[in-house]
Amino acid sequence: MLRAPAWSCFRFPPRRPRPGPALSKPCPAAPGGARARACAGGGGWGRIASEIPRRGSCARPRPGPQLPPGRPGSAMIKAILIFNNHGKPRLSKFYQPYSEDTQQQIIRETFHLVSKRDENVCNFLEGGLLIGGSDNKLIYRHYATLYFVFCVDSSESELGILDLIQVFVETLDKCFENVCELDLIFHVDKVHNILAEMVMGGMVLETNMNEIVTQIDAQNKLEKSESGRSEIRNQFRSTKVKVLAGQELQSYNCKELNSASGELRRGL
Amino acid sequence: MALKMVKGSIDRMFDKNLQDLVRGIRNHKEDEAKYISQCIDEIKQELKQDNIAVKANAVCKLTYLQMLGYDISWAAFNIIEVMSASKFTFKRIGYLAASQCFHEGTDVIMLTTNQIRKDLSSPSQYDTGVALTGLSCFVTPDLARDLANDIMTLMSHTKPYIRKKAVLIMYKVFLKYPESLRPAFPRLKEKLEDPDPGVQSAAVNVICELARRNPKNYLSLAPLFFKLMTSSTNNWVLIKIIKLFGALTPLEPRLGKKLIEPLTNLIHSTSAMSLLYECVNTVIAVLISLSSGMPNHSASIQLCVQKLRILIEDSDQNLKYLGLLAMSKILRTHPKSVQAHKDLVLQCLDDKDESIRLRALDLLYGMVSKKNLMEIVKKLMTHVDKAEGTTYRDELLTKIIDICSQSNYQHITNFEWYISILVELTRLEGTRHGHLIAAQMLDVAIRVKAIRRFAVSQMSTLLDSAHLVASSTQRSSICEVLYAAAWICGEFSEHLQEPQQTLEAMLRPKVTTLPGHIQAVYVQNVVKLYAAILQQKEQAADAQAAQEVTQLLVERLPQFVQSADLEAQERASCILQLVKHVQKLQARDVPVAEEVSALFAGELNPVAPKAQKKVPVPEGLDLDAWINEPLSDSESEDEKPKAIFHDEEPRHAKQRPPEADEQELARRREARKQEQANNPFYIKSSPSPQKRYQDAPGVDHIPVVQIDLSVPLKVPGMPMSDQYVKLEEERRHRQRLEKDKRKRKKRERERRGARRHTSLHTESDEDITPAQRVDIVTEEMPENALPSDEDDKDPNDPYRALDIDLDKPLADSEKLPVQKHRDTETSKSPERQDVTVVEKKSKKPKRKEKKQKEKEREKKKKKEAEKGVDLDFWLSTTPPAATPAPEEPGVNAAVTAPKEERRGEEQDAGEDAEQDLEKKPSEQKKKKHKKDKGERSKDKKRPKKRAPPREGDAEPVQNGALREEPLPPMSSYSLLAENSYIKMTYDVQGSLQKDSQVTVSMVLENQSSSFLKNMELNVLDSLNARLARPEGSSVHDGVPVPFQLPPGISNEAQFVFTIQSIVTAQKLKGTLSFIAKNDEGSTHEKLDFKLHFTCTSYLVTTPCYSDAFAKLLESGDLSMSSVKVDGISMSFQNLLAKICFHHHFSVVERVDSCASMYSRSIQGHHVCLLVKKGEKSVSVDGKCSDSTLLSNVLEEMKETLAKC
Repeated sequence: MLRAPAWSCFRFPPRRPRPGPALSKPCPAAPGGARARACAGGGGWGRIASEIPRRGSCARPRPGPQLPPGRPGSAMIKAILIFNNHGKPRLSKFYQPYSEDTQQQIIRETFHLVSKRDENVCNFLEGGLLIGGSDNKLIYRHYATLYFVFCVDSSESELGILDLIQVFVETLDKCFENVCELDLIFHVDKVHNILAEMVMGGMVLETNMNEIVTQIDAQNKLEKSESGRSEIRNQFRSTKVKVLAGQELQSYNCKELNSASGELRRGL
Repeated sequence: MALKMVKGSIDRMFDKNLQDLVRGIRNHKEDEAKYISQCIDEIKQELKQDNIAVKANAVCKLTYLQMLGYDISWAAFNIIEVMSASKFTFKRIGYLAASQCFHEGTDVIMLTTNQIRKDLSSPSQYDTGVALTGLSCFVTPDLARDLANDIMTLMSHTKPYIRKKAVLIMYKVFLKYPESLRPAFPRLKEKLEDPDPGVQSAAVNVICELARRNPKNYLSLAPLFFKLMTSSTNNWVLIKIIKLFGALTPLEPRLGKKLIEPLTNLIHSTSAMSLLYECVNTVIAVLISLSSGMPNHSASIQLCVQKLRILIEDSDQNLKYLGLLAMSKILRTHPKSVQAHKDLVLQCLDDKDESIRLRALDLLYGMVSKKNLMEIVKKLMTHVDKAEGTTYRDELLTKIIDICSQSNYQHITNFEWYISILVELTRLEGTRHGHLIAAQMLDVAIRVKAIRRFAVSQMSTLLDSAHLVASSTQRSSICEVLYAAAWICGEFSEHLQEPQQTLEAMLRPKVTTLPGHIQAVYVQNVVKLYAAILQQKEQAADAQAAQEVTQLLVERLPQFVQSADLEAQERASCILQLVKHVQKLQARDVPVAEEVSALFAGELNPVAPKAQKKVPVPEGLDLDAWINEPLSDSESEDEKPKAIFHDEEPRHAKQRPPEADEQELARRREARKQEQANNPFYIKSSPSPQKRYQDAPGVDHIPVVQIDLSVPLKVPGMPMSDQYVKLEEERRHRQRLEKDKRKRKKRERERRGARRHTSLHTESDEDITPAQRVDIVTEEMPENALPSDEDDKDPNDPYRALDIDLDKPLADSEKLPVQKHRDTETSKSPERQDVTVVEKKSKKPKRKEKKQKEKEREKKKKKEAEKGVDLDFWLSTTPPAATPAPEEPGVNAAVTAPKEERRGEEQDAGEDAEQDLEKKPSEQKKKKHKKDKGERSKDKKRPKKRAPPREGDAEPVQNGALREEPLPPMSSYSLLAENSYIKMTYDVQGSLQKDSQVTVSMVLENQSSSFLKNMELNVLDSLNARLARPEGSSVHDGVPVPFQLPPGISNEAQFVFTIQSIVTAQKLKGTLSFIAKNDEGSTHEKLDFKLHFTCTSYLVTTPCYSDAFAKLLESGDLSMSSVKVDGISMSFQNLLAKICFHHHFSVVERVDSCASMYSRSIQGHHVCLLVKKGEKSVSVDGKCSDSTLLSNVLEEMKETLAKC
């Protein structure tokens, strides 16, 4: 009586067994080891503080807006993190001010929490201590070699955010043509630009993938017209591990996503 | 050549772009840090170049390094340079870097203001977009203030891409610069109906977030959101709105009722899981907010629980998790409905997913009862054994303790079992919750007297076992239980079987490895044990053994004297000297046991955690007075109350007479009171009302009265928790047989009467009463403990600043700061300037303008009033949210008439302004003109209504009369009672949704100079009418008024009454009791009143169409009655307005001096009236489905008319 259920055409898909152990293998559940690798110089991305010229010492806390954990921040999405199976950050976007050291701690802690979870458990997690109190949740998805983690407060719908992650990844997939971890490694600025069209200042800006892609394309065109050079490099294509490959597509929310993932499935 | 080299180097640098940097880092895995420091040096070189492309490239690389954890704030200025590049490519890089590393503390941020403003007004939408995106990440209060106006303009940009970003960023601006909220809000509201779905969604997003923090200011938007909810198909928007309604319903229960139906429909119809989940969540919130109003809400709860069960049973772990999460919300209010799904919850406890297990644990809290507690805890204990991660195990541990200790150990029938559980939990290694277990042990041992013997025996084994002491070296806190064990063994040493052995255990050298505070407790309790042993030995006349014990202490205590912990050391050396002294006395054969045990005489009682805070200040004790004149300023004020209450028992605190210089003291007192009154953190206390009746003013003690309640429970003695479960069945059976015997026992015990405990028999729901008596001594609270203070809102909450009333019309001063050139800033605002210019010309226009302003103000007022009416009306109509457009009778005779009049005025206000340029029309002409306008607009407004009255009829004349003789202000509130303190007025209102309930709105006005608080309303219920009281209170309890009244303030409270029959009027006697507090002290006052429920108050203004009205009259099943009143001079128009207003009727049709009116009672009786006006009289003929009701209503109407 209220309205024609316009979105009800979509049925929640039954869960199918995941294909291919190679792509969706659970992460090595050795958090301690992973952490050690990441921090202790042995080929990791961690840094040895003493060798790096930096302004101000790491002991001195940054003045100003260092929010203590638990205090309400101003954003609904507190942070968006992407890191790989070894905890190396591929993108970090904080919508609340934290010092670089805290940011790294948060990334490590989040990786620690997320990486020890099995593949087929729920995608919600409480207990990130650094990035806020009881109101906050980590909502993540694991795609091939990458974790996409959103830290949100209670004003966001959990399932909505899960879909948003899916939209994000599929948008990346469209913009990079079969996105893989290497795209994210070498074009982190582009990933930032795409993200900026979806989430702004911690609030969801746009959820329609086509709209996002249109804007990104227009901006790329503008960029191209400014400099003749094309920035996109294709030499990594052959070594790619596709992020979306073998991923089960499930949506809790939006119909446009469903149709998009339909296309995608056909494409794969 | 040289040029070539330079060029080459530039190229090389230029070539090292982000990709090269990344590749370089990947290739230098061995010495990454060194490589990066090299790169940073290069970047610094690049930043020094003039070429903006090189700079942008450098900044881009810095952004990457920032992600890896390098501080790049040193490059802030360069980032700003890149931000101000003209090319979009570079600008974007600059803004990205800024958004990653700028924050409120960045000092150069103030340099960006003009750049950002320029970008915001750039013709390229992407320049604007990128500036908005960047700004959203680093907006500061200064930037917000300076740019608010620019952003507001962007909210109506032609491109939806910009609009949505501008709308979204407004939220950030509001947070940083709350003053901007009111000026910007109207435009934000407009955006809710923007044609672009993205902009609409952004506006919903922002308003929802604002409303979530301060919901009450956004209630008036509910109709708009309701419309959106029923019309939008965007699930993202729907989810936000539904979440918002969840926040609004607690404030407005009527809203909840309106929502239930559309939400249930959505639940049934949607297939989007996210939407379904949010709907269920909001329905839960609605049901929580409606305490008992809905007769059929159990159906909704059932629906929610069913849907949640489907979610929980789903194979998708996410849905399972959320289902459990929502279920726990239902649990809080409707535990019964959830308990039905116990099987499901227990099943989830075995889930492999930890998050799900944790959520299931939350639910368990509400699932336990006396019957199944042991079983559930047993299950949890097996989980504890299996659990791998310490976090989950710790969570299990706290949950076990939580569910066992909830509501004063309500579900525990056997405390021996509980103690064994606690002891078993101590075997957990590496837990963080040792102190929790310890606290439980102490609590149970102190509060459950009968368990002490058993507890002591268990604790002494704990002290004996070595593993706990050993664990102290590890990082776990399990050794904390030794603190409890030592204290219990010492304090209740009379129950110890082998005190000597325990004493030796506590004096083992290994003990010194324990943390200091535990050692201190050991030392203290060693002496308690020692005292007990001495007594024992002396009674047995075993002087030899007594001396041996003393010797043992003298030998072992020095190990504590060397303790690193100050407290342990201090206590040990004190006690060592004491023991040495005792040894000397023993050598002379002096009996010492009595004296030593006198050290620990007396029993300790549990005191409620807040008891100290709640001790009322006794009459005559002035905490603010100096005890001694202060020596220096450094003396802290806070110390004084502490000094007074320093003694362990407050009752011993002596009042110290205030000294010296009364005047000075009075002055200071006043000042301090002022300060305290203004200090939100100061917990204001006041002497209790009863205090007044106490005789002497110089009370020399603070009275403390025990409110000891003991709950009789019985348990058989059996160790090991597992065995208890098996025994439980037998035991209960046996108990049933023993019941009579037990009763006798109980009585006996009561006669013996414990010194301070009076037993109170609570009937256990399942009638499980054990064989051994266990008291739970409740914690002591001082007499007249002040009611618990509500937690104040965190003053640091950034959202507090946004608690702004948005319905209030904008004042002229409320404008966003607009950038001006410095020279114009000195002059006044342009509007003022105009005024002065005009003033010079002539005086008349000025008056005009004033008038206009007045009108505007009125208009605003009107609008506000309308809004209130709108919301109420919207809420009171039945679901299909039909806008009350074409015919809105009811209030209309009273309200719409002046409204229309004013609308006319508004219109010609505009025209007047135009005419201003020509010549000013005469006053009379204008009036007529106005009248016509009024007519016209009226006709326009009600096109569907009966044919407009013919010209020359009575109508225009009366309309004119109305203008000359405006309606007297009418108030439906009538006086209830009044005394020197308080004035009560009230109004009774029914609603069609609740057929047997009326709401009494009571305005309480403080007429005195005292502060009125603790107001409580009580009414003597009659058979027919009852006051709805909160659940669980008896019919004699009063209903507290939810506010306090400072002098001169009035506030409105609402009470719901349940009415059986509405055909006759009735009166209820009642009392309002309150405490009046002023400088002299406080008094307990009360005011009696009689609530009069007239039959009119059961009528609800209901619109009725004339054809339906005619049918109703024709149907013939209405009884008829009539009444006539003489001597009425009032105009017919006003008369009708009065009837409409006071008697809740609506005009159906009006012809000349004859009108038909309609109303409906809350129980559905139709009441139809035909009102005819003669020369000086009015006759009212009524028809109603209930003759008694009709005659009563007419009687009441007669009274009203007689006053006209």
